[in-house]
Amino acid sequence: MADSKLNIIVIDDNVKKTDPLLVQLQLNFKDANVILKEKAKDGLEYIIDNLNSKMIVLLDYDLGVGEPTGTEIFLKIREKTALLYVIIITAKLIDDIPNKELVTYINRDALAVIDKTTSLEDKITLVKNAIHTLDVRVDCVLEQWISNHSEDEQNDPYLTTTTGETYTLKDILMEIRQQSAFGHKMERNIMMLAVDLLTRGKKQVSND
Amino acid sequence: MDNPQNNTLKWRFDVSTFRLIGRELITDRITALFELVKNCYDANSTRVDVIFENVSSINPDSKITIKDNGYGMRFEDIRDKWMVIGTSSKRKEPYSPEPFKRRCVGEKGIGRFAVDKLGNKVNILTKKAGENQKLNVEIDWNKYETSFQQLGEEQEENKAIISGDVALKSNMQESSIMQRKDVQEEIILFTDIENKYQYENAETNMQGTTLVISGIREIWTDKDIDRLYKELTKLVSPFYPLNPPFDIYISSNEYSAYNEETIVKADSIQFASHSANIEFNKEKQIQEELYFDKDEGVIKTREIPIQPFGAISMRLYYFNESAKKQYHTKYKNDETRIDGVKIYRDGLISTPFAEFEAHPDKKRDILGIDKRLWRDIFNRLSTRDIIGIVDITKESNSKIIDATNRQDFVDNEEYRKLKQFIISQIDVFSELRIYEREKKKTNVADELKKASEDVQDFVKTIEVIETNYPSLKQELSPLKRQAKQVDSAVKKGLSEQKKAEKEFLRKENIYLSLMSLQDYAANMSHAVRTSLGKIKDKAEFFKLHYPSSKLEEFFKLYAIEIYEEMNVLNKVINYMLSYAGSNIPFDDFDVKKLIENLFAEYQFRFKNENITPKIEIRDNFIINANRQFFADIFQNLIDNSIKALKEKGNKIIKCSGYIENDSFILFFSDNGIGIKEEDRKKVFELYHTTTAEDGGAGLGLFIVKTRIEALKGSVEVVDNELLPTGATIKITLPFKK
Repeated sequence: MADSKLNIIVIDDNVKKTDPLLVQLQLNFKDANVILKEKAKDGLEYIIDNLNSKMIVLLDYDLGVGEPTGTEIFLKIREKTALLYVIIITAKLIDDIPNKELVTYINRDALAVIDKTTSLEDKITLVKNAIHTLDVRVDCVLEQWISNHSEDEQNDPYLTTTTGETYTLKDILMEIRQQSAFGHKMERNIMMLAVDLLTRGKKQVSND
Repeated sequence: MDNPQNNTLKWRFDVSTFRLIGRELITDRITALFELVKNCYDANSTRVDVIFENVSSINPDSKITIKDNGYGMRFEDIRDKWMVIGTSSKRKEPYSPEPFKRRCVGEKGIGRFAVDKLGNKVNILTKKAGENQKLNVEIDWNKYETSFQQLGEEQEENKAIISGDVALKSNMQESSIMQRKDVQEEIILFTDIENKYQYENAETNMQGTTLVISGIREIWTDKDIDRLYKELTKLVSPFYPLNPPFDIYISSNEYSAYNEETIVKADSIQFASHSANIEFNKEKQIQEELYFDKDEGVIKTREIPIQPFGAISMRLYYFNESAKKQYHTKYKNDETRIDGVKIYRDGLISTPFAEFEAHPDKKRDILGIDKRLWRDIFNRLSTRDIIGIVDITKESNSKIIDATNRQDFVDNEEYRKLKQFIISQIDVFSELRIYEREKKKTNVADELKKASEDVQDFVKTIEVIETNYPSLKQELSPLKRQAKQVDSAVKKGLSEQKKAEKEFLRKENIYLSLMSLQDYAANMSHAVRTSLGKIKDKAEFFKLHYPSSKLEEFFKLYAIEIYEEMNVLNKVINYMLSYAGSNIPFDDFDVKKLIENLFAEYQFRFKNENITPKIEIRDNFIINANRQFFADIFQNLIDNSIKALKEKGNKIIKCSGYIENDSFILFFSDNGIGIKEEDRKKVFELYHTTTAEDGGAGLGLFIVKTRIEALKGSVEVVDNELLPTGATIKITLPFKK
């Protein structure tokens, strides 16, 4: 079973446990685990071990000599999951970050790139937005739903298309995450169904 | 209100506002006088006299008079133009009246502010040709100030303070005086103060305006007047034919140099080692440009199309070292004379705008000539190597637009192109400089070689004579001995010359290495931002939550951390300030001596801490660098070692060094707690510290590293020299690139 508790992971070699950011995060998100990882490697390990939980990562851009850069860590995270939100924090001027890296952030869906001197309040607002977006994303909702069901239920064929292919819930999730044509269609259908349910009551998912 | 249907409000302002504006606009008194002289130009004068009387001390007789023979002003001109702040009739009409049609240069209409800068009181005596009376208006700033002060006391009277017989007022002023009593009792408005005027008899054929400024604010020494003279010489282009003329005369009843009217005239540019000029031909659409002919080693001109910024003519004078020496001998080391490139429009200075700045480093580098130096200080020319005069016109260069701050042109594509063009022309002289330096080097070496050969030939000839005429041997032997001595002296000279050349190269290398100042700036801003970020977060936490008994422990902690972070910030900023001067002084010093002196300075501390210092530097190494920068390196190393040795017995700090190949190697060791293998790289990082409790901010080794890298050297942690524990830092300073 996945942990339904939210994990907020701060990866920064320059921050202490008593840092106002960590204290403030814990104050604001009382139910969340606020976790500090000073070493990039430890942070990445933690993320990989907890892929099933809801996660938001605040990642320092410059992790010190001899350490992988924030961008490298970001890409490693993205290799594993597109689900969690990453906020890149930098002490550099945004102008000094190579454009190529900024493009990477945009294309690989980093939630934000912010200046270290951004106020606590603004940082918290960003995290709040991230949590909200996480909560309403189709794949997240679905994943959360799947993780609340037994292994058997998860592996049972759930849907058969008109062309005869069957999909388990896990398969559907995978398709959505891989952004395949089927995944896109499913995502849209789920949303439509949700709206339908809201406005007209129950209706079968069309599977044409 | 009398008429509620038709209420209106008027802008008003008080005396202090006027002065505030004036101070913003006119930054110094030389600029102020310059401004007034420019107004004379705009008034079609052909002659202006600047007369200083009794200005060596401030007394009631101190006066500065600016007298021109321009078209003068009517009563209406004074009332509707001169005394209306912010108008400039010249702005509407950019050219002065017929027949001169000069391009107006005092475009802002701020002459009145200039007057205020110079003295408390001015009499404007002005007259047009043909009239038989001249107008005399008196403006006394003292009265403005007095009224301002007396205001509170005299409210019940509340009369306009009118001095003199006739009040000069417009309708608007009249009505505001009437309203004052009811509406405005606490503010005295600038526009309410009245200035007296009168008409005096004068010769009919006289014309012009004379400003007599008294109540002088500051004394004027002969040096001050010299500076004014020098600035005024820049007003008119020395090459553009100004017709009709505009002659400026300065005189003073106190200073002998100006006892007789002295005409302001730019000295002809002497002593320049090279000069070149370019012209244009508008009909053929041709602009000349300079280029350096490498084969012949001379600067030539070639033709290009007229550039987007329009046709220009330019004269450039380059002063090489010996030319500069001559120049400075003549002008008594007055460095400000070789002062870069000036742009004249229609014969009148446009930029750099005349603002007096005694220190050459503080002068505006509008064209960006000196900014390029960092990239190549040995080869590029600076504003102190050249005098340049660029003549443009309003007509041909209409895209070059005067900036409203009057200190530059509007930044547009054309102006940028013009700057690039000017710099490209200066760079032609850089090429010449490189060429000459190379040639000189080879010349000296060649000549020495040739001399050596000649002497050897001479010795051989003597030997031949000796063989053929053995009887002459005795007579010839002193000659031969002497020739051999000469030969060895020449050879020695040759090797000295080579050494000197090598030395020059080494110095050049070290100079160049300091050019990574931009890197420092980046590093430092990162440091400051990190510190500020930390402080800001903690301060914000206070703002968000204080007071709160639950969070008490954080408040206490953050208060301490903020304080400590401020200390770090302070150190960072001090470090930064050490680079702030654009003129970092360099000198030759012996590294060995410097370290010895430094250890001596620490003597007392070493004794206190029970540390035995050891210095084993084998070779002397003369370096040309900033002494303090260099001392910082070792101060930081020593401070670090002292901390590392805190808990140890038998404490040693050792510095050893020697020259190896092309480098000077230094080892700096202690037998303290040592540096962990995995931290060897990290210790040089900003904010990395293992001694936070001893006030370590993680700055020391960062400073060491950046300063050594600035010298193109390297620094690393190596295996500890002293056993069983300790740290050794190896510093390598190369001679060559």
